[in-house]
Order: sequence, then structure tokens, then C-alpha cells
Amino acid sequence: MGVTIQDTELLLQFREPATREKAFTAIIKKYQEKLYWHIRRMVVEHEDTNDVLQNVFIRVWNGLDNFREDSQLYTWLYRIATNECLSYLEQQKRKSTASLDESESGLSNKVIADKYFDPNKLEWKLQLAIQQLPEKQRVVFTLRYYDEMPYEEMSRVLDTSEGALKASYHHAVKKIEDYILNH
Amino acid sequence: MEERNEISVELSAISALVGGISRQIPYGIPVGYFDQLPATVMSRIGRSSSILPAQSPSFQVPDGYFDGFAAQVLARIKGVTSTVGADAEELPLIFNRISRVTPYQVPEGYWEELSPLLAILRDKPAYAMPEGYFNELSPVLTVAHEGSTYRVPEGYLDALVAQILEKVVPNVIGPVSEPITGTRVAPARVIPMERVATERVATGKVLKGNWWKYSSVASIAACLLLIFSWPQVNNKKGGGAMPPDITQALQKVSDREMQAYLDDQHTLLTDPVGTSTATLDMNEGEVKSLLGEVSDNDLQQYMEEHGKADDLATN
Repeated sequence: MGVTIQDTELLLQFREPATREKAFTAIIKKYQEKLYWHIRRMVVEHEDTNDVLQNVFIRVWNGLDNFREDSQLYTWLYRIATNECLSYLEQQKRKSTASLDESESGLSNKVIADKYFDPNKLEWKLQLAIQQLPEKQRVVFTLRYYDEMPYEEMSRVLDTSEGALKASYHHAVKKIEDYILNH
Repeated sequence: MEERNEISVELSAISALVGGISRQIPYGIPVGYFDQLPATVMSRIGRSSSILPAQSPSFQVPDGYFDGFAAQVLARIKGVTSTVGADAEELPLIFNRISRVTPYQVPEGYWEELSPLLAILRDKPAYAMPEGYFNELSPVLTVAHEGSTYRVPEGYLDALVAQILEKVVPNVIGPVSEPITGTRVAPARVIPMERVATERVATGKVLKGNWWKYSSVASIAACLLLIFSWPQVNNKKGGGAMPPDITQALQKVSDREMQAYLDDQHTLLTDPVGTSTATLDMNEGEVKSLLGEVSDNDLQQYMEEHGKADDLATN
């Protein structure tokens, strides 16, 4: 619970004009890496991730005065980041005339285009398998697998029941297994 | 946060293959990226909104502006600070006494020299209409402009009050000794109301003091008599004023005959809608007792022929 207390203190400082920017800088430093990787696993490229992450923090700045602390700041930030990712991916789809399959293969191509990409390593195969998933399953799998988020908290982030999240996670793992076995 | 072991167990139960994969993310990031990110974000925020506090309003008003605002508006509404008044309020009081007429004069003939055409037009209205335009436009408007369409005979209104009093007042309080117009009028025929009331009480009918009904009935009867007899009289005499024999005949009618006539008319007056009144006064039980021997089919057939069957109270 130490993290929560620190969040509360940061929020109090943010509401004081004198310490507003300092508190917000602390919030960025605290959550930037977690949010960055959450976004990066969704949009793959660093430049895209950087754009989305900056937009997320600007939204947080604009909305933090209205944050009512009904949920943890951590949950609220993930919710904003997830929505921003999905909006970004939706925009990318609309910009391209490609179909859904081509869009997913576009993300796979971005994985392959990474300068560190090694097709023989299982970690890279896993990344390719993740990009084959539907967006919602991709979010559920990465939040559970990488961020180790409990279903209860994930339910608040995604506005989805825990049962549905468990089923979605199960399907995602099975699809990933199939992909790795067949590639 | 759940223990990593719980998540690993769950994952291994679903897929041992996936559970065995390292969670290390293979993507690389630029060196020092996270060190620079807070400053980058703050600079973007600073360009847009960090200059002013987020909750401060965009526009400001001078201190105390709204305190005197209502008084200023009311003063302007009352005309104290209208266009002229506003200037006068700002100027010294001495200016209120000075006329706003320009004191400068133009030398005589200046405008004529400047432009003969403008000099001619200067004192003339810019627009004109043909003579008699409105008379041709609408006869109705012309008549309306001249006055009322209807005329009253001269002296009619002066004599009207006396005529009304002559017809009404003598019947109740006796003849008018001096009419308002100053013209002596012969006393009209009087219906003795006391005798009528007495007779009605004796016959079991109550008069209720509605004397004006009788006078109205008498007037109506006289008018009807004149209307129906006038064409014949007119044909015989060739038109013109009412023949004096009719007036004499009316005067020969006795009070008793007139009373008998009024009794007949009273029945008509007091019971002009007798049928509907009787219907309203009868309750449903009385209707059923009256119609008890009539079958529903007959009632239904009657209503189909004469009215709505919905209104029928059947047996």
C-alpha cells in the first residue's frame, strides 16, 4: 500500500499551484516505464509509442483535477493508456486502406523490422504471436502476462467482467501456443 | 498484486509452452529516453496550458465591476445616461444649459452659389405622390378618412333617453311629469301588475315579480302584429306612415284581453324548452318506470331511427 500513499501525496501536491509541476513530473517518472512498455507491446514501434505516451500524459495533466480517487491512480493511468492505444490503432487502420488481416500483418512486419529482431529467439516469436491476436485479447494477455495485473484490477481498467477476462486470456494463450507451434 | 507464481501456475495450466517463455521484452529503446521524457512532456504541456492554472478562468473582470453594474444598467434604462445624457454626465454642468444648436451661419445665397440644383432640392421633400392618389387607391380608405359610414338622424341621440324612459319608467313608477328633453309625452298604457299578481296568486300561479318579461312580451307581440299586418295595410293605403286606425285599434284592446294574451305567452316564455327541462329533471329510475313496458328491441329500434343508441337506458 506504500505506492498508494505516495500517489495520494502526489495528488495533493498536484492540487497546490506551487508544487503542481513538480508533482506531475514525479508522476511521470514513476509510471513512464510501465506505461511505455504497455503501449510498446501494442503499437510495436518506439516512435509511435513515444507519441502515444506523451499524449497519455497530457491527457492525465488535463484530467487529473477531476480524478476522484475512486480507483487507484495506477489503474486510471492504465485505463487512459489503453484507450489511447486503441484509438491510435483505430486511426492507423483508417489511414490505411488495408483490411484487418493486413493491419495485423503490418504490426508483425513492424516487429520483424525491429533492428534487434531475431527469428530464432522464442521471445521474438512470442511478440509475433501476440500481434496475431485481436486487440482486446492482446490487451488482456499483455496486462496479465507482462504486467501481472489481477483480474479484479484489469476489470476496472477495461470495464469488463472478470469471467470474460479469464476466458479472453485463456483463448489468447491457446492462440499463441498454436502460432508458436506452427511457425 | 497477485504473486507471479499464481499467474505462472495459471499460464502453465493453459499452455506449458507459453508458460516456459521468458517474459523479457526484446524491444530496444533509445538511450536516456526515460530521463528526457518528463521534460519533453512538461514542455508540451507548458506550450499549451501550464502557463495558467488549469482551473483559472480565461477572462478576467476588474475588481468590483459587478457591484455597480446593476445601477449602471438601471440608469441607462431610465434614460439618464442615454446618448445625450451620457455626454452630459461626463461634461461640466454648465454645458447642460447651453443649446446644442450650431451658432454658425451660412452667408445668404451660399447654397445657391455652391450648387443651384442642391439649393432647389434642399427645402423640398425627397418623395412626393400624385394628387388624389389615395382616393384612387381605395374608396374604403377614402370614406374612412372622411368619417363614419353610418349617419344618425339629427337630434336622435338627444331624444333617445327620453324615449326609453317614456317606455320603461311609467310602467313602474307612473308617468314622467317632465321628460328630459322637455317635450311633454302622453302617458303610455299601463299594465296593472298588482292585479296580475293577485290573480295569479288566486289561481295558484306565482308571478315572482318578473314584470319586465311582460313588458317585453307586449312589445314583441305589438311588433309581430305590425310586421304581419303591415303589408296588407301598406297595399291598401299605398305605403307611408302607420295608419291611425291601427293605433286606435290597439288602444281599444282592454287590459283583460291583453292579460289573457300575456297568460298564454307566459306559458310559452316560462316553458320554451319544456321538453329538455323535463328530461333533465327525470332521474334514471323514473325513466325506467316509464319505459318499463317497452321492450329493449323497441327502444333500440327507436334510438336507431331518432338518435344514438348509446344514450338509451334499456330495461
